[in-house]
Amino acid sequence: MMEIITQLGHGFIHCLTPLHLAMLAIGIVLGLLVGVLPGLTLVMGVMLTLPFTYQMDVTAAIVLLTAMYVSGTYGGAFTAILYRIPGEPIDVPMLWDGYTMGRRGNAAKALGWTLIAAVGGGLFATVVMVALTKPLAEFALRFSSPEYFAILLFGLTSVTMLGRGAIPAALISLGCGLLIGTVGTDATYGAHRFTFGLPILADGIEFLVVMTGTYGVAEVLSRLEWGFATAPVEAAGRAHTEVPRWREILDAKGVFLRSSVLGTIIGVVPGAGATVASFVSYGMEAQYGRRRASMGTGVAEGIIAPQAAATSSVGGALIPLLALGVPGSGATAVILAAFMLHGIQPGPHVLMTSADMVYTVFASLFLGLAMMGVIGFFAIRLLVKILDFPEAIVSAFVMMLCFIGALSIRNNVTDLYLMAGFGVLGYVLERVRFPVAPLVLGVILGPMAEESFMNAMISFGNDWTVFFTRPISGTVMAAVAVTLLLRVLTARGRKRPAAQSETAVSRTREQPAAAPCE
Amino acid sequence: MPSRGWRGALPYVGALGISVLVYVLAGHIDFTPRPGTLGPDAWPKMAALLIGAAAVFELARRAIAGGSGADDADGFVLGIPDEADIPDEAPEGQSNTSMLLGGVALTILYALVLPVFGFMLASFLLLVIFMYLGGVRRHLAVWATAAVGIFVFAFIFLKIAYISLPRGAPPFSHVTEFVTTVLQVR
Repeated sequence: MMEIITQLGHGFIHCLTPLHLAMLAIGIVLGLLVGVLPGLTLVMGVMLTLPFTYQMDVTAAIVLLTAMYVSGTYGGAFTAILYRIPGEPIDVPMLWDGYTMGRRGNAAKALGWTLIAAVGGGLFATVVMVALTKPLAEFALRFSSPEYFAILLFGLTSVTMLGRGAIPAALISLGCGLLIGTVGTDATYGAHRFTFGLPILADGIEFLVVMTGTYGVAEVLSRLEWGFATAPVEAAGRAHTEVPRWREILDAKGVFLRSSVLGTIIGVVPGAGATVASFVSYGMEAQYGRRRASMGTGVAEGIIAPQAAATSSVGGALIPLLALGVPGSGATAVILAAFMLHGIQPGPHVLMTSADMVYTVFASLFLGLAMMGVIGFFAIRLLVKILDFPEAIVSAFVMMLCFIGALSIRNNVTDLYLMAGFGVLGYVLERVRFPVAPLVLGVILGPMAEESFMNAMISFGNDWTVFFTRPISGTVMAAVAVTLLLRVLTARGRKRPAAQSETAVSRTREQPAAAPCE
Repeated sequence: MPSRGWRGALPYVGALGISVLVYVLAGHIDFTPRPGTLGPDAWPKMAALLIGAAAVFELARRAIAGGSGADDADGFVLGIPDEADIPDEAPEGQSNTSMLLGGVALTILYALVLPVFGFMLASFLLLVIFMYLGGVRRHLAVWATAAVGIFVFAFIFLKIAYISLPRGAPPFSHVTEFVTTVLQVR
């Protein structure tokens, strides 16, 4: 533990350079703006920033992207509380108690609870991340291909099982992602798969092209179809934050702790992420919390639970990325891409080869959370002013950034056609209610899973039982089975009271929002 | 079974077709087999089978359930909200298909003209057309925002991020040269 603390201290020293502090501040502000703008999701925001980092030092790039990721879970709460506009799907639960508290004249207090929950939850998860990443990475050094395959299968199963929509739709979406991931030259045989004689396809389809298309272009196309809106910002001039008193915070320590623990755990699970964390935490509090009867009437617990869980899920999501090299969400996939673009493969070895960089990123999260609190407190009026921009103008620039993002990966125009194609595919999938997240994670995790699977088959003479007979892979495979079983049983057994469903629907029909895998 | 139920089944029929097609295509991957080792067709075939199995399951479920269960969508587990709890992607407004098609056409057109027009001119036109398509009618704001935007992006990507962007073919490449001269990019 002392070694971790010492390295973290070094990380703080590295992080206090002007470049890293500047990246941190830019990342926090960009993340807050992304959170505020309803047309721009967290994953899109992180993804569109990626091209700006190509020439940066890897540490600065990761600091920028992770800062955006953290503050993106917080910015949307401003507009949810003040204007009933959830900037992100994460912020939908904020409408129930945050906006209600605001309507009763306590918007400043609601914003204060959000601030404390975001900073508190974020700090909790960051401490857990610092404490667990190294031991987990050391444990992961014992992993061989069967263990990696089992973990990747767990990731693919989780994203399917925890995602939106019907199970068959999610499985089909996942299968399509796995197929897209197979396009190109096969690593074992060097055979061309589904390249149709096109040289660029021999190099495979970049997952960033798929992400840019299915998240960015599809979202813009959808908004174009339904017409752009300009949000009312009359109240922006009066917006301010009132931090709750220490005694009030202590009174709510139970919900802080529960939500932060839950958010961190959900963040670790591949495919879950901040939206799921936010909803589950609110649901837990509504079912088991001390003031469950008052939830939805504008109580602090209804604000703390989703916000603390959403921000703490970020620290949780970074654990498997850094310790195992497995991205569990869209945003961590983009961060993985940033690592790989700089020639670094996250995983068990990265803590040995690039410990300075990893601990600088850890330290940046501590500093970033503090900075986020300060900026969120003082700059709220300026931040919500961005809603003055017509959505059509913002979307036009988003579209252009999508093009630049796709073009800059290989500098090949074919990637633009592919991105446009994936944009249309993403739009169609949303229209027919097929979730996009399994497709995207299938593209990202599929090639890794195939490589591990093929290596395991070669190493163990095509013995399929190896995944079940080795202790670690067997345990993970059991977790896969439990996840599948749980989903099937819950789907069959769930009979929600009609009245409860209607209440939920009436609460959430207030504002449209996408639900990407963030 | 009501027609709405069958319409809902169409994506699954399409998925089944894709799975069959991919399975057949995977069987034609050219490689030299190695004894005791799975071929490069194994993984795509597994993915195709996954798609096919999921599609067949859903089609069978719809056929058995009839119209009543045709549009069932299982939600999240563990108290995570289902479809009803997360707002719909489509707002309750008027769908405008021509705008959507315009957006798709603009996207494809951009990719087509980019090598000829170059990044600066193609992106400037993209921004202007997109803003008009999106309903902005303040002409000065549209043209000025697009022009300023292009200069800002050019500055960031050419002078800071060093990303190579298409220059275009003559005479359109003169626009790129003008911007790079103004920004003193070499």
